Amino acid sequence: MKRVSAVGIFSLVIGFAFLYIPILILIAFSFNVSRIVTIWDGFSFKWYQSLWYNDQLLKAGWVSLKVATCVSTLAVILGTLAALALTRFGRFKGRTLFSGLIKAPLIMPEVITGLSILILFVSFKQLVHWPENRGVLTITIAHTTLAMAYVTAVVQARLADFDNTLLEAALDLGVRPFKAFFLITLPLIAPALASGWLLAFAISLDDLVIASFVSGPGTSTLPMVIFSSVKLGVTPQINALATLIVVFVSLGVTLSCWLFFRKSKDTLPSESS
Amino acid sequence: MASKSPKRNLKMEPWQDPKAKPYIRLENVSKEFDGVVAMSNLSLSIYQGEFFSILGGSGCGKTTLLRMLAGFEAPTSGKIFIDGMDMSHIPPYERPVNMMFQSYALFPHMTVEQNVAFGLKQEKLSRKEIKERLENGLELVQMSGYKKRMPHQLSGGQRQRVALARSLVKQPKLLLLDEPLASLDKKLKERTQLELVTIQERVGITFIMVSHDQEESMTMSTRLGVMEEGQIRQVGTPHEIYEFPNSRFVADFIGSINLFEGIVVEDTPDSTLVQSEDLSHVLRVSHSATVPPGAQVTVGVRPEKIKISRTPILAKEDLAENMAQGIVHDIEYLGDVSIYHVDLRNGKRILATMPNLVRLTEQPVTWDDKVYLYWQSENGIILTT
Repeated sequence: MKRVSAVGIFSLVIGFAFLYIPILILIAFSFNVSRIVTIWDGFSFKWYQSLWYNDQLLKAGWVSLKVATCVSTLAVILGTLAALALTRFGRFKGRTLFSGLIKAPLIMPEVITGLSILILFVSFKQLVHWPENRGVLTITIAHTTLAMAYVTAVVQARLADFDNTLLEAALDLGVRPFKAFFLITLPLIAPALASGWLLAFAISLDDLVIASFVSGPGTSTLPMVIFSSVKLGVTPQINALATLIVVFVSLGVTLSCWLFFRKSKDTLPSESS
Repeated sequence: MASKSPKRNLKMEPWQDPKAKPYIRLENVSKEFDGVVAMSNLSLSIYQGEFFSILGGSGCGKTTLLRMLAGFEAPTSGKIFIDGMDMSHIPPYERPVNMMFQSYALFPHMTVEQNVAFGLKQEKLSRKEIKERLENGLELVQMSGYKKRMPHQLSGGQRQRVALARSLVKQPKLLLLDEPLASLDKKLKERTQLELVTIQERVGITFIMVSHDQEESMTMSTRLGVMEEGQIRQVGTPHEIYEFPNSRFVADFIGSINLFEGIVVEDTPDSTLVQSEDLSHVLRVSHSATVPPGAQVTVGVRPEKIKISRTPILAKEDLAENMAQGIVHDIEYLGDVSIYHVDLRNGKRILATMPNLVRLTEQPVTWDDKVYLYWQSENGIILTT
């Protein structure tokens, strides 16, 4: 094994400290007794308790969960179809363009995505009187466009190392192509679908910018409520909520990584066994 | 060469019988990929119960041929018949044909048992019959003890057996094998060769195997076809292909051979005389085909047919019908035999194989020895193309 130099360790520590100390401080202060966020006054769970009685936050949390669930499910379906088209249909005309377009939301600033979708909804309303008013539905649609790009990337990576002779073997054994997709392809890319779903869920749950553009009166997602309450002055209640979100999101990401890597290790042919 | 050839029970040789109907027939089959010709006007007949090998280098079109038989590719023109039915445009899932893939293509998310039963479940068979065929199939390949294993828990040889069982339980009319032994080590390969032949005879299914390994296809096949550039150059039993190649390509592709370019000087009733620039003597070849004097031909002699000696032998002996003189340049010691690389006076190199009959530290013939090479006239092959 290569020896790690002192400089290497030092820069690693600095790097991680820069990334994680703010989050650790935030978590620590969620257990603070004092109302003032910056002064430590003793340990307590009281902010977690008061969080439970904050109806506004809970309602926003419920909206966020609803949206995130719909978004991730839709994004997985659409993203998988797109990934299949990109990997399975050979080099059709316009493939590169399609591939670029579908991944554009990954690098597009969210402000632009949000604004353009808002304009779309407004002009749709003028033209066909739909959507009537903006809310859960519009947020879901907007988030799906973003999340779908991520799901496509994840599923496409998985399909790229898919061994197509497996499909041929299935056809050879008497299965029609459509059925072969459900019997062979789907079970083998399931880990990618699961991690794509979790990723989409996390993206939707996180998003503030796009949601702010396309939501209507009376519908606020959790990040929107947090952001607006920060403007009025932060209480450790927000820290508590943020801590819960951090825990939730990191569990989700860990789970999705674990699913993705465990399965891809399994399917690699190991000659040594 | 092909020393481990298993004893075959196939007594009849259907290809010899003019009344026998071929079981698999390709008629003027051509295949193009985006304008590139992969196969041109190929015709081939294979009989029921045969173990037929298609042998050729990479890119010769052998895999394309196999994929057309399986139904993954449709011929651009021509027809493919299997058991009298036109299969040219029937999709793979409706053909009575199964294939064993080079990578084995076992489904990684299914156990051995589920893999083997996969094809049976598609046939709407009764649960009892599926179970019965599954058991028999696994027993045939001696994998009954591994039912619950996943493919990644098996060794290469075991995976190969499962793949074989998976295609055999479907009881196809034709089983295709794509380089079935390519990823096995030498010892395992030899054992598997014998097992495959035994299994093939037991189940009586027609096998078509694609291979680039000539030793493997000569050992296992009833007949083989040598392919080059999308065409079959020669079809015959391993013995025919080795001893009576019909072209320079086939002679050179199967085993090794010494080739002498020359011109026919005389065509007597029992032999043909060829003058080659490489040799001072006239080459005498027992009569096999009528070649008019003056024709440009190639004479081939297999290395093991050439005797090597440090002393000249009497001209009266049969052996002395063909003779050459040279200096040993190199010796390849292979254990059972040694291959001598002998340089003739004009620089032409000839290979001669001699069995190592005696355990000696010192070889009877060694480097830089001046040696005489002899072979009988019936061991020469006249090749016109």
